[in-house]
Order: sequence, then C-alpha cells, then structure tokens
Amino acid sequence: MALLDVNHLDVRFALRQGDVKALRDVCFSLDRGERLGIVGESGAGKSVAAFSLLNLIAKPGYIAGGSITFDGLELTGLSDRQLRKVRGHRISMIFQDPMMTLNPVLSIGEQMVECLKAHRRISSREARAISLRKLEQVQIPSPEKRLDQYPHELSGGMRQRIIIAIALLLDPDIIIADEPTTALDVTIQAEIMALLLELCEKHNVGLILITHDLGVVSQVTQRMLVMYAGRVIEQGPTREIINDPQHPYTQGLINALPQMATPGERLNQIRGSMPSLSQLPSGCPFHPRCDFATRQDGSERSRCKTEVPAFVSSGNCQVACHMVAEMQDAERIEVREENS
Amino acid sequence: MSTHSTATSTRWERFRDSYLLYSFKRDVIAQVSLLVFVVMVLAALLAPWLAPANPYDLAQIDILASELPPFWIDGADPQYLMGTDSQGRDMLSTILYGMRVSLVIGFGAVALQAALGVCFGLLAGYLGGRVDAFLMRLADIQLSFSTLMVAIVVGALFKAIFGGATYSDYAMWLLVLIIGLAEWPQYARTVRASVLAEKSKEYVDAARVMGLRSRRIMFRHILPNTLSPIFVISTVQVANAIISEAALSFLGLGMPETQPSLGSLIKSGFDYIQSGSWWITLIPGLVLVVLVLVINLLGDWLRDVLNPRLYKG
Amino acid sequence: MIAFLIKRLFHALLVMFVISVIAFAIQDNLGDPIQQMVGQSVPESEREALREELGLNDPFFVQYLRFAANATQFDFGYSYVYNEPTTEVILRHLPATLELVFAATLLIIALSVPIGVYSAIKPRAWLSRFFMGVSIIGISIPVFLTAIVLIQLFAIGVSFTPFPADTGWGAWLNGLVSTEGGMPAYGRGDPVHVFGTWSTNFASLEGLTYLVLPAISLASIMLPLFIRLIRAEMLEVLQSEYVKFARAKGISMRRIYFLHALKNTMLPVITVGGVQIGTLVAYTILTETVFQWPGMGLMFLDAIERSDIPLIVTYLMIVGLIFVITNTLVDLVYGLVNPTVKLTGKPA
Repeated sequence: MALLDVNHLDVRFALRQGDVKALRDVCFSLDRGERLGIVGESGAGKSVAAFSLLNLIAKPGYIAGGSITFDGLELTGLSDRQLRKVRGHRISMIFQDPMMTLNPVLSIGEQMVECLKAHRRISSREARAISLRKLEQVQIPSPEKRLDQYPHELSGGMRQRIIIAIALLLDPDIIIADEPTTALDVTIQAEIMALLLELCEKHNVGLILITHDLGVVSQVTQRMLVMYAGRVIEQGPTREIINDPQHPYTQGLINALPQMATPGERLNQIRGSMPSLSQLPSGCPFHPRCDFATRQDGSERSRCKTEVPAFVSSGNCQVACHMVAEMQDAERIEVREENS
Repeated sequence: MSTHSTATSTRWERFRDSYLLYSFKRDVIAQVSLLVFVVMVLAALLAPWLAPANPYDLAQIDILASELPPFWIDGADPQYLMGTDSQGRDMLSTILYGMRVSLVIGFGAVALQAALGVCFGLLAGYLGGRVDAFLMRLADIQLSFSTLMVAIVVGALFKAIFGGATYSDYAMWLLVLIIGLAEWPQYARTVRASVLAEKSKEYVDAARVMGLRSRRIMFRHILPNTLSPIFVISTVQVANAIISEAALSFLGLGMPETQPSLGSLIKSGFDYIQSGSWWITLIPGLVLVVLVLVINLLGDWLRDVLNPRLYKG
Repeated sequence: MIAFLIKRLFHALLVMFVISVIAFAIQDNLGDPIQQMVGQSVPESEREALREELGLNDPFFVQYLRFAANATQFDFGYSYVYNEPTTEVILRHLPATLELVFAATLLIIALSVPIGVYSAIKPRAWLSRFFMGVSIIGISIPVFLTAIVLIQLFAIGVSFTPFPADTGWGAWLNGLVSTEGGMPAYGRGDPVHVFGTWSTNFASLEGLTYLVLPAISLASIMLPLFIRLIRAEMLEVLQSEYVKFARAKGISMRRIYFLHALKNTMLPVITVGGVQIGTLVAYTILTETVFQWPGMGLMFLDAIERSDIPLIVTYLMIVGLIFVITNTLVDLVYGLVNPTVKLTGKPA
C-alpha cells in the first residue's frame, strides 16, 4: 500500500450562489520517497489539491467527499488538533512566495524553534541546534547569524532556502511544494529546485511538486498528474507523458512550450481559456477548446458534450478522454478483425 | 432627442444591473437606514409645514407651559406631543427645526471640506515635491491635534475676534467654515493616495503626451477615478460634521439658543436634567444619535460594497 | 535607529515651531497686556510709554523671538483671571486631566484588544456581531451625550418600569431596575495629595468612584474605533500567507492568534491608536464640562468664556507639547516593536 492514497477527493467552496466544485473525483497515490508532479494552468485546482491534503483550504472551502489515507491514517475526518500532529511533522509544505511566507515580526530562529517545539518535547537550546543544522543543510552562508535575523533582512532566494529548512526540520515523510520557484529570479530558480531535489533524494522524502513548468516536472518528478478545471485528466510516469501525451489538453500544453515552436513563428497556444469553475461546460470540461471534439471526418463526437470521460489505460498512463477511448476501441476492433 | 433618451436609458440600465443596487436589495440594514435617513431629511426640510409651532416666533411661546413632559408621562399636555423645553417651546417643533440646522451645517461643512481636501489632495499628489511635503505635513499636524481640537480652537478664536453677539448672528456659516477648515485633511490624504496610484497608470501618461494641461488632466482624468473613496468618506464625514457641530454647540461655541441645532438643544436641556426634566436633553439627543447612526450604517454599507482604497493610518 | 530618532526629533521641533507661531499670533492680535495691567483710567501717552518699555512696538519677529525664548522657560506671562503665572494655573489643573486620560486609556486597552481579537477570530459568532453593532452605535453617540445618559442612569437614577410601582411585583421590579443615587457625577471629590500640585484619585476607593463615570464617557468615544480597527487589521493578518504557513507548520491556533497574528495586528494599531490616545486630550474638554471635572479642559473653556488670552495661549502650547510628545513616543515604540524599522530608518 502506498504511503499516501487520495481517493475520489471532492472539494467545494460554499458561496452565496451555491457550492462551487473546485476539485472533483481526484485520485492519486504516492509511495515513500516518490516524487509526483501536479501540472495545470492557474485555476485548474492544483493548489487546492495541495492544501486540501492537510485540510488547509481557506474558508469557505471544504472537503465534500473522498478519502485521504496517509500511512494507514485517514486524514479527512480528523480534528484540527489531530491534524496538527501531521502538519509540519510528517507532511510539511513549501509555499509559493517566500517574501510573504515568513512572519515579518518574528526572527528566523523563533520561527524554526516554534515548529520543533510544537511537535517534540525538547529544550530551546536543542531546537536551536537542530535549526542550525538544517540551515547548514540548505547551504545558507553564515547560518548562525541568520537565526537572529528577521525575514526582511534576507533576499527571496535565502528566504526560500529557510522555508525549505523549516520544511525539513522534523524529517517529514512528504513535502508538498506549491510552485516553490515561481516567485524567484530565474537565475535562482534552478538553484533552489536542485537543492530541493538533492535533499529529497538524500533523505528519501516524498515530494508533491505543484507547478505549471513542464520542464521542472520532467527533471524532478517520476510521476505526474495533469489537472484541468478541478479534474485529473491524465496521469502516469512523467517520462511517458512528456514524450507521448495522450490527452489533447496535455498535448496542447507541451506544444505550447517555446522550444516546440519553429523559430520566428508564433508560439503554439491552446485556443480559448479555462472555464470558470462556477460555469463548467457539460460533458468533458475541455471540449469547447478541444480540436478533437470533432472527428477527422467532420462528424461531431456527441459524448464529449454530454458525458464526463472515464479513465482509460494507455501504456502505463491513465487518460480521461473520449477520443482516446474511441481510438482504442477502433484499434481493438482492427486487431480482432486482423486476427480473425 | 432619441440619442438623448438612449443615453439615459443605458445609464439607468447600468444602475439597475449594478452591484451597488444588487447588494442594496439584499441588505435590510442599508434599506432601513436609507428609509430613516430620507424620512428625517424630508421632515427637516418640511419643518415649517410639519411643525405644530414655529420656535423662532416669540409670540407663539407660552412661558407658563414650560418643562411639560412628553405624552406618555403623567402631567403631559396633548398639545405638546414631545413636551416643552424650559422656555415653553414645543419640543417636537424645535427638534424639527433643529434637525434642519444640524443637517445644513453637516452638509455645508462636508461640501467645504471636500472642496478644500480634493483640491489640496490633487495638488499634493499630482505636483509632488515641496507642495506635497508642505500640504501633507500640515495635514499631519492638524490630524495629530484631532479635528475636534482644531475646531474648538478656531471656534474660540472666531468668538474672540467677532465678539459673542456677532458670532451668534453668523453662527451657522461660521460653523460650516470651522468644521470645513478642521476636517479637510481626511479628504486630502485619501485623494492624494488615489492620485499617486492613478498617476502611475498609462492613461495619465497618454494624456500628458497628448499635451493636455495639468489642470485638465487632474480634474477630467484623475478625479473621476478617485470618486468612490471620496463618496465613502463623505458619508462618514457628514456624520462626523453633525457630531462636531453638536459638540461645539454644547460647548457654547455653536448655534445660539434662539436658533437651536440639535446640539444646542441638548446643551440647553442639560441644565434641567437634575430637576428631572430629562426629555429636554435626551429626546433631541436620541434624534441626533439616530440621524448619525443611519448615516454611519449607510457609510459602512457603501464601504463594504465599493471597497475603495482608503487612506490607512 | 539614530537617524530615525533624529528625524522624529526634528519633526517634533518643527511642529512645536508651527504651534508657537500660531499661539504667538493669537496673543499678539487678541491680547492687550496694557489694558489688563493698568485699566481704563490711564492716559494714552502713559500707555504708549509702557508699550515702548515692554517692547510691544518691536517688529513681529523680534517679539516672536522674545515669546519663543520665554516659552522655552515655560514662561507665558500672567493669567488675567487668576493673576498668577499661567503655567502654575495649568500645572494645578494638569493632574486631573492626565488622570482622566490615563483611566480612559486603561479602559480602552483592556476592552478593545480582547473584543477586537475575538470578533476577528470568530467573525460570524453572534457575540461578534453584537460587539460590531454596539460599536457602530457607540461611534454615533457624541461623547457629551454618553456622559449625560450615564449621569441620568447612575447618578440621578431611573426608577421607571412599565409596571405599577405600589406593591408586589411592580415594586420588586422597580427596586431591581432602579439605580437611584448611585455614582458621584460632579467634580473630583477629595483627591489624595501626592506632591506639589499633584493630587490623585487613584489612591482611595472613594476617589476611584469619582473617576468611574467620566472615564467611561471619555473611553466610549475611542473604544468603538479601536475595536473596529483591531478587528479589521486582525482579519487582514489572518488572511496572510505567513499565518497559513504557520498552520502548515503545525503550530497551535492559540500561538498563531496571539503571537503571529496579534503582533502584526498591533503594529498599525500602535501608530493609529497612539495618535488617537493623544487626541483624547481634546475630548476631555467635553467630558470635563459635563462632569465639572476640574481639569485643563474645563479651565480652557472658562478661559475662552472670560477671554483670558495668556491662559488660552499657554493651554495651546502645553496641549501641543503633549501631542508632540505622545506622537514621538508612539513612533519610538513602533520602531522598537517593528523589526523592519531598524535597517531602513523609516517605517516600512
């Protein structure tokens, strides 16, 4: 059994006009030490998925159904007090913007020591010693000095290193990193990502990396999920998906990468934009933007408009697309016909 | 003709579909507040027709009928619904007339504050440099003194300069002037903050590149974009101005008893509270509180709906 | 930090300069010391001589410099009414006002922080809604009206119930509601002498009862503002990323609320609030009038009534000084609490 098992997770936002479904039927799992990427446009529900694992979604968001099993423990029904033992201890998080993540009026030392003391009965001196060791691990220059400094005295890259150190403080099983490099300078992004990868490998920590950067995902993760409008639409080994994407949306994402365009030509982009979660189209949420909702012979695939596609296996991947399912059926028929 | 009608209808339609109206329809407190406010303003405007007596007319006053209680207390005269004050004036009438005075001063003072504050704020924000530093330092000093203090001092000075009798004669306009002078920094700070935010936007650069004059850029291009914070402040400021007027009148620096505002009614009644005639001071007090409260509630609602950038601190 | 201090000090001096110019202009235009010194009967030639002798014919700025030089020694001349140095008159009235402001400040801090924090933590609880409702009503009641209502309720007393008061339930209910003859409402009573011109209401239980109603009235003007300010700031802080991150670290909610959030909430509250506490001095004029509290406010109003120009001018200077000192202290405290001030030299 996997370390983390997410099954049919449903997350909603209770608004005045009624519930908005932010996540629907999200399933995935993570093995010990495994690195998983979650990819999608902004608004696809990546961050909601990350925050709902530890029930940290801001009100009026709530988990409406499904289960999250971590190391044999069901997380969804837990009280805040019980969840606190998991948060920061066995599953820790790295946030997007290091400039906003640290409390401006508390020193770095205070913010590290309090985390240790929340989970372990240790003296302040010991906690400080551990903090120092972790700061050394994230390769911060003169770590001793940093403990007494305040966030505003440090650069963005340094702060993100400190946040990584905080995430590693209690030797967690999983780190959830929500776009950990987006807010940083491009030159520092690679450094921080390399550091994170190195530390995860070294300490055998599982990583859930949320990002819209397919390049980072392919370098860092072993498996990936592609999300669209609150649903997982494709998942499988990262290499297979990047090399041979099945879902039209994933194909579009990869085609949109700058390196896929012919020099001097316009970049390939997916037409249209992601629908708002409160006004989702019927059937497959991607069908209004999908070039394959119409078959090659010009006939419409009506199921795309009426039916939410179920997952079909394709190699080691799972894809939720009617077109893929139809082509597989056709192939199967062909194979059968050839055989007969 | 036809274009005119379409223009008005689209404006009406825009209002009808606006978030402002939508949230108003959902907010009972805002509806009740507006209703009460409109009723009070109408009652004040129509005071000469609604009031049973004219409190300014000495011939109508019966000194023998002084300190009569309101109708629900024993010893009341049904002719005086809310009782009478120490001079035998009908309380209901004096309150209606007094509300008129308070409202005129409140709105007048806010109009002056807004005019001063908007001009200074635009100047400070648009010109920057020394003008900005000077005006904002002035605003800082005035605000750190509290507007009430400034109003009391200016009022005391006016009274010393003009003498008590002249001061009473022109009290209404002097109060507008005093409160207007005391509270302009509120507007100036907010307008300046909005101007600084707007100034960096491209349309202002575009206007400047087109060779428009500063004054035109300020009033035609920047000012419209600062309207929603001005609108929100104004409601709160009207409430503040009415309270300031009442405070000044209570201190004897406001409206004379012969032409009372709600504040001077409360003051004149205060001397009789020990003798048990609480209604002379508490009924106008209640009217004042309700008037200010509904304005504040409307202001709160507006701020929630329009959610403008207000100057903090 | 040094640069910050010097900057604040310079600002304070500038403000005092502006105030002194205004105060001097008032004195120069409205006060005629000759009239006060010699009365009506003295011929014009003698007055002119005296005027020359006192330097009243000197140019404006020469006279101002003399005024400013005296002001640094706290010498503002003699009060017309009291016939003694104005500073002494003020010093005699100062303790009463400062004690009133101090008591009101204690009330404001003790009540606004817990109420503001509570209604930010539980914005939907009925108690929070109740506090918010009361606070907007509180903002709408002028301070002198609060004072009058308190006097009516707790000093004069009410014995009004809709039930007949003869016997039985009616009498019992009347007894329950009645607050007749409760709190003292006028003056300071008999304060305990400490030293010099200073006598205090804090030293005896009886003295404290005299302080109750005036202090509540004075506090009532700022309390709603503080509650709303603290609530608004706290609500904003609770939305911040660092609070979310603290939760993700597994920190207890109590520590998040009362350390992480409260410390950040109090920064803007200190700046805005500190200034507001200074302005309480202005509102003492109203409270002291209603309660006949023998402080500076009552004295100032009396001075206006009797056109005691030197006393008015001295009051303006002293109150100006109080404002400047509180503002500077507030900035200092802010600088000490906020770690970001030290480096940049100005509040971020």
